[in-house]
Amino acid sequence: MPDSKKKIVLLSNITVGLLISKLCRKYDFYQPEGYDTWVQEVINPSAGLYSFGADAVVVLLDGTEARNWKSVEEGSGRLGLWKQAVSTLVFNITTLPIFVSTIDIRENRIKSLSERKHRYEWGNEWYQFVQGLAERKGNVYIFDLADTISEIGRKQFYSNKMWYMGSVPYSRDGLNAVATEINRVLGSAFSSRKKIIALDLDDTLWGGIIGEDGIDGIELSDHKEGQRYYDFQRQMLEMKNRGIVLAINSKNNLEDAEAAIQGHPAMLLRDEDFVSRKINWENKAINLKAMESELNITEGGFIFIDDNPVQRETVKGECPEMLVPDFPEDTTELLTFAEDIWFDYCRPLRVLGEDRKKTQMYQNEAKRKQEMSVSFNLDEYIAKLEMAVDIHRMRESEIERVVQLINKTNQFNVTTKRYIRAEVEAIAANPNNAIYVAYSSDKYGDSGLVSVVILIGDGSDARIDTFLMSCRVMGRKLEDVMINEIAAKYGGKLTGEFIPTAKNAPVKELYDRLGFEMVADEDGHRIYELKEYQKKAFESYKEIKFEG
Amino acid sequence: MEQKFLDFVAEIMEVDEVSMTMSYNEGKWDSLMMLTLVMELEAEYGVSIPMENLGNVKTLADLYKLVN
Repeated sequence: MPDSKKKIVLLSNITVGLLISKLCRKYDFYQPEGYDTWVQEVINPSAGLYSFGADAVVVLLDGTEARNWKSVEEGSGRLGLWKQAVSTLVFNITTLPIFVSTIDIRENRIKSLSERKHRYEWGNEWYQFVQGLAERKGNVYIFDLADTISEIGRKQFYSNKMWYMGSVPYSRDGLNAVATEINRVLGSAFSSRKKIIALDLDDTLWGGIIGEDGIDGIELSDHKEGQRYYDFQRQMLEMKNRGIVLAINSKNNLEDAEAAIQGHPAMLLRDEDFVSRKINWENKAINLKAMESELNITEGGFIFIDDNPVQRETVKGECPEMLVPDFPEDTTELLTFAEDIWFDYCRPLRVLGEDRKKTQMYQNEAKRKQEMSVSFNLDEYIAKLEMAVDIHRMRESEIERVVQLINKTNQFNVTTKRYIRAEVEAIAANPNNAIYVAYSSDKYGDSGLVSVVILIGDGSDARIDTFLMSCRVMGRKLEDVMINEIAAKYGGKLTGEFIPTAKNAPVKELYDRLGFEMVADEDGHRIYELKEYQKKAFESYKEIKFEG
Repeated sequence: MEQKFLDFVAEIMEVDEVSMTMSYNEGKWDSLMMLTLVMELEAEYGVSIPMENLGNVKTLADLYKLVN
C-alpha cells in the first residue's frame, strides 16, 4: 500500500496546473473546475472534493490578490471567508490529513514610511487560525508556504509575467520551491521516516582531527568559524528532541574521542545523546550493520553522515538501503544541509510523547541486552527485568498512537493492514469488535504503548485482524502473555491470520509457536485456529494487568 | 543550435524528439504549455522575453527567434 499512488485534492485561489504537472508522477491530483472556485467546492457536499476518494487535502492560498483589496474591510472579509471555508473543510473531513498553507499577503507597497501595513496583522491572524486548528484537530497540519517564500525571497519567488499571462504568481524557481514543499509535507504523511542518524566525528561534528589536533586544536565554538559545527550539532540535537536517535560511527581512538565528547566546552552533543557509539578502527559498514542488529533498526531507517567520500562509497556499497547524503563541500552549509535532511527524510506530521523519549528507550534497551547476556535463559532474563504489562481496551486518548503503530510497524506485524484514524474509530465503535493495547515497563523504564491487537467478531468467531508490536519489546514473551489473556477472555477460541510481506519474517511462525493450528496456507498467506486453549501462568512476569 | 532548441522543447513538452519540428502545433500546445515553454526557455537561454512579443508567437520558429 505505501507504494501505490496517493490521491491528493489541491484547493487553491490560483491556477495550479503547472504545479500539478510537476508532481503528477508521484501523486494523482484532483482540483476543482474553474478559477478560484475552492470555497464553493468546499461548501458543496456533492462536490468532487468529497467523492474523489482522496488520501489527503492540500489548501494552497496565495496572497497576490491582496494588491487588489481596496480597503482593510475587504481584506478582513476575504480572510474571514477563507477561515469559514477551511473550518467547513475541517468539519467535513475529520480523517484525512489536511495541509493548510500560511499566506504571504502581498499588500500594495505604495505606502509612506509611517503608514500601517496590514499584511503583518493579516498574515499573523491567518497563522494563528491555522496553528489553532493544527493543535486542536488531529488531522490538520501546517504547510508553511510563507516560510518557503521568505527563505527564497519574493523577487525570486514571484513572477509578474507568469501572473499576468497565466494567473500563476510564481516564477520558475517559485514553482519548483512550492512543488518541493508540497512533496515534503506529503512525504511526512506517506513516506516512511528515517529513525537514526549515524554520525562521523572528525570534520563532521567538529572541524579537524581529534587524534592529531587535540581537544584544543579542533574547530568547534559557539561563535565565528567554529560555530558551523556547533550549529550542525544543534540541528542534530533538535532532531533528537523530536524522536530521531543519534549514533557515532568514527575511526578514532576511543580515549581521544571521549575526551572531546565529554570535555570540550562547545560540544552540544554529549555521551547521553547517543544510543550507540562505534569509535574504533573497524570498517564503518561493519559498525553500521552491528548497530542495525543491536538497536533492531532496519537498514532503511538509517542515515549515515560522513565528510569522507571514500567512507560514504563503502557504506553505500555494503548497505544499499541506507541513506548516505553527499556532505556539503562548503561547511558553512552544514546548517541548511541538516535542515534539508530533516524536511526530506525525518520530519513527522506530529511529535508524540513516545517520540521524545526515544533515545532514553533505546538506551534502556541496551541495558536490558546487557542483562540478557548474563542470564541463562529467557524466563530468568524476563524475571530479572521485572517486566510489567498492562493490557486494556483502547481508550480515546490512545487512538493517535495506535494509528501511528498500525501505519509504521513492519516487522512484528502479522497482517500489516494499514488503517487511517477513521477506520480505527469505526472498528472500535462496533461492539462486536475489540481493540486491545498493551503497555510494557520494566526496571529500566517505561516503553509506553507498544502493542495493538484488533479482534473482529465477538463470542465464538473472534478473528485477530491485526496483531503488531513495537520491535523494541520483541523477544520478551509479551506476545505470549497477550494471547494468553485474550484467548481466555474469548473462551479459548481464536482465529489468526498471517500475510507475508518483505519485512514480517520475524512473525512467520508466531501462531505456530503460540499453539495455534494452521488450517489453510495459500502461497504463504496462512489461516490459523486456536481451540480449547488453557490459560497459563507467566511467573516470570512481575505484573500482568488485563482489563477485558 | 536549432536542434538543441527543438530537443529542449521536446523534453519540456514530453514529446518524442523525432517528431518535434519548428512547425509543431499538436497535442499539448495550449496556453499553459506556452507559459511553461516561455518560463523554461527564459531560464535555459538566460533571456527575458517581453510579453509584447509573445502575442505574435504562432509557431516554435517564432519562439526560437525570440530567444536568440
